[in-house]
Amino acid sequence: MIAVLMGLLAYSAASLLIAVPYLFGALAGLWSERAGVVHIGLEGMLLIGAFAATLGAAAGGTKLGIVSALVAGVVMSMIFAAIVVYGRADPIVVGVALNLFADGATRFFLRAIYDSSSNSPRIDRWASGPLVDHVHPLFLVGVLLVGATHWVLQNTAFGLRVRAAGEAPAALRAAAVSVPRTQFLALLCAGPIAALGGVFLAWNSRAFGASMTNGRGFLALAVLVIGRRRPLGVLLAAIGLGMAGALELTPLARVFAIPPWAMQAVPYVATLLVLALRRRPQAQPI
Amino acid sequence: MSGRSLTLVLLVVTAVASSLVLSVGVAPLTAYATFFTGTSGSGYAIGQVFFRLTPLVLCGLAVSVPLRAGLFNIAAESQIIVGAFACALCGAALPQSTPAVLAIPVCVAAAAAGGAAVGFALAVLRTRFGIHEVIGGLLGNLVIRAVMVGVGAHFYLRESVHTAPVIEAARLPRGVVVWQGFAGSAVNAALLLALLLLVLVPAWEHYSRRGFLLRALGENPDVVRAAGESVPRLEWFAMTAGGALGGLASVSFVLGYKYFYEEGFSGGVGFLGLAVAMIGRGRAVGRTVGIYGAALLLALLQQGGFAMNAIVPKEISDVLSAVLLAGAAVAIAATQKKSPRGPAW
Repeated sequence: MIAVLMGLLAYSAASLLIAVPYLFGALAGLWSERAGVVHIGLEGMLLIGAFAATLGAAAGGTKLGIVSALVAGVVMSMIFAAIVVYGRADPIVVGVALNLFADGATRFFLRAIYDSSSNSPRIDRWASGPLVDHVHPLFLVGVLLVGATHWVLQNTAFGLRVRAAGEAPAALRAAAVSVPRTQFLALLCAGPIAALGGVFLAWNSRAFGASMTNGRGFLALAVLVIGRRRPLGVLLAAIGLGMAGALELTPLARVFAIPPWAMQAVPYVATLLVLALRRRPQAQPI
Repeated sequence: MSGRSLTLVLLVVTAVASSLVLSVGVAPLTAYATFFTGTSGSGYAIGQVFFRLTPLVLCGLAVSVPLRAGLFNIAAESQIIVGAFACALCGAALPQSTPAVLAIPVCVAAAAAGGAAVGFALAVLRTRFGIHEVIGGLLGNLVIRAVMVGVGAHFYLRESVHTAPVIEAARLPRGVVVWQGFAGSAVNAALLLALLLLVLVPAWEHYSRRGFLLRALGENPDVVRAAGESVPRLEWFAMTAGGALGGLASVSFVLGYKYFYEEGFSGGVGFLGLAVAMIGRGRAVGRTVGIYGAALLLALLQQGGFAMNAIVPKEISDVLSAVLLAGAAVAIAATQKKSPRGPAW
């Protein structure tokens, strides 16, 4: 009985941990898509955040790691926003370019700085202890950001402008507000959020590994769609995905003799199933 | 892309390249010299550029055909992987006495079929289940990557990550058969397949009825309905055709180079196909020339990066390809009339 309880506790803790990068990625995507910009480049943003966090932590400890990641997130999204919003380039294409850039640049500097093609040296964990190991502080930060996002979008003029940029840009123009500028600012909000997801990844692994995001940015996009582009929905969808991913750690695989690669595919297939079976609200681009 | 915008983008790429090269303490001129000798300084180098060109051309076509219909084929990477696997298994399973004139087309068809299956699946997910082909494609890439680990393990030779070799009759001749200078390079007859399709596919798109319908689908679906055609079926066709082309991109590696399927062989070329399709826009002959030029550019970057690897990390080619892609996207947007909805490729 105690064993079952302990098992459930471990499973929940693992689910929340797995959910963190998806939560941050999808929240960043939310800021972008509510403003009307599809963000395929979340994978790249997570990667850049992770790398910047690793570099910063190696140079000056955890706090510098967080700051570097946030700065990198802002800078990268400024570039992305400039190209997409002011350059008017197709966001899907630029998103693919961003992912390619991030993977290439992080590997490039991994080789250049650490002379390794796969891993950076280890960085210190922020804090440790039974509580932190089970409910990572970044998860709580994520939940706070979910609340903050909801509040800002619903209750501030800025949030209204962002929503209008995505849902009714003509109305925004009629109100003499610049749509590109609003989208630019929304993307600037998205950047640091995604970078924090990268921070979590770097800390969780205590190092940066080449292509360590491993598709999480793409799954975050799916989390965004499943969560109906609402902050609370995104939180629930992320936790759901975390639970699907945590199944890999349970004895389920042993009991049913499911091979590891199939367990790996479970979250992806589950996501596709949920996407296929949901009621389509209205014709959404992505 | 117009000549002027291409020049501007290339300038930006050169600037980024120089900064990266400097950041690792290498003089740009040294790097460029290595780049040039590594891409055109020998028959081997030229052969290697053409070897890299082959899958890039086919992936470019794989993206550009659905793109005409307004669909993003972001799953070219999975298509080349599944195509390669099908081709390799087919080639290894054929009896040794099969004549080449039968073996090669069968294996090539298997590659196309493998990729087409992926494209078709994504099209069905889109039309029947409402999953946008980009999300479906991205998730599909992840699913296929995970599945291939398991399925592959079942077929790999012991203690390796590749399948059994294909029979002799299914192997394509290497470039050295045509010119001594290509000795040692992996360039092979698949290049001819790529070039042939490079001419045929854009011509077909431009001159055939179905090609016209595809373009109509991308610009105004009502035209398609007015012509009495079914939009979902046309989307199936577009994605399946794109998938088949993506599958064919594997032929060069499987039938012409390693003669088996190897884990990780594709190395992201599917995504570069998007870059090729974007940069190489145009109509009919323009598209043929455009895709060739774009693929050549990216192949040069790849081979050049490889050649510079001793002094500058080869990943620089991915960074530069990304900058090229972003630049192309901006250049294209600048020449577009402001279209109210959807890309007007």
